Amino acid sequence: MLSAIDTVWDVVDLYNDARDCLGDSDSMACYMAAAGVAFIAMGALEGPSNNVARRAAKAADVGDAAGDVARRVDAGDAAILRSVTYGNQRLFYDGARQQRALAIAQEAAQAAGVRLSDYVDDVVYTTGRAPFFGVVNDRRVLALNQATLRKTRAGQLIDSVHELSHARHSARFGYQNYRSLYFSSLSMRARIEILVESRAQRTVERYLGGLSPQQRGWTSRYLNWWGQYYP
Amino acid sequence: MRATPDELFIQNLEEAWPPGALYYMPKEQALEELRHLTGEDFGYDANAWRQWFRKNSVSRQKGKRGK
Repeated sequence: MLSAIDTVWDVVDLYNDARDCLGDSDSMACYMAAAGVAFIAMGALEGPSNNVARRAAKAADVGDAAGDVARRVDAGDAAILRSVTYGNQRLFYDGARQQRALAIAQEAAQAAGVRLSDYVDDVVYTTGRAPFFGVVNDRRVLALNQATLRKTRAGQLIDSVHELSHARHSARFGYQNYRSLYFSSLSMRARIEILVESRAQRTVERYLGGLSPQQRGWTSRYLNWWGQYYP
Repeated sequence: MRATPDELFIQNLEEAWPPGALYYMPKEQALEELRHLTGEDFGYDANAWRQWFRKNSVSRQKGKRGK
């Protein structure tokens, strides 16, 4: 029963995403993307409840950044993680760039009207090529990189709201379910990316009271890149 | 991850993501996806793939996906 209720709410949430897209010049594409995700999500979510899936997902991801803790600082009984290797990237949990990333993520959450801590445990700075959301060492991580920090305020917020949207979907579906959904096909990836980018664009546009033509162009280009893989 | 589809595959060629990451796929699979997407084969040379995508960005945006 719980599973069914959760599934209904997941679908409602995705349709809310779709409704959020209405008014975009590309609203139909966005709406269809959301509908496609919701339809497939209904199948993907049959089975264990989201809460169970979330716990399983967390357990499965423990050790993602296994070992290689660069430095730990004792703070009472707890050890604070300062940086870890994650794939071929380095994630920083403190420092000036991490502080800037955190400020951007906090403003992005404000723009989206949500509490950051509901969806993200740590905001980190990554040396990787792209900002991302993931679960690292059993904690939900939103990572921003140098490219994001170099962008305009609008660009920074769009990057961050984009990743926050992944985090929100992950919270809804459970991380492993969301991961399975994301990699189920290239067209599904395209649907999800179009959905979160469209949402990010609209959220930031509303928050800032508009976007420059240049900023709109960058977002459109991203949507077009993915759009060609969307049937 | 806010990155283009080709970049997602190329990053997996470079093993940018550990197993379990939202964006992880085995590099063999990433290579297969890139071959399928472009009809080209540069093996595991990420720079060569990036160079190809830079040169072919216009046709890519017009929807030419290769074989």
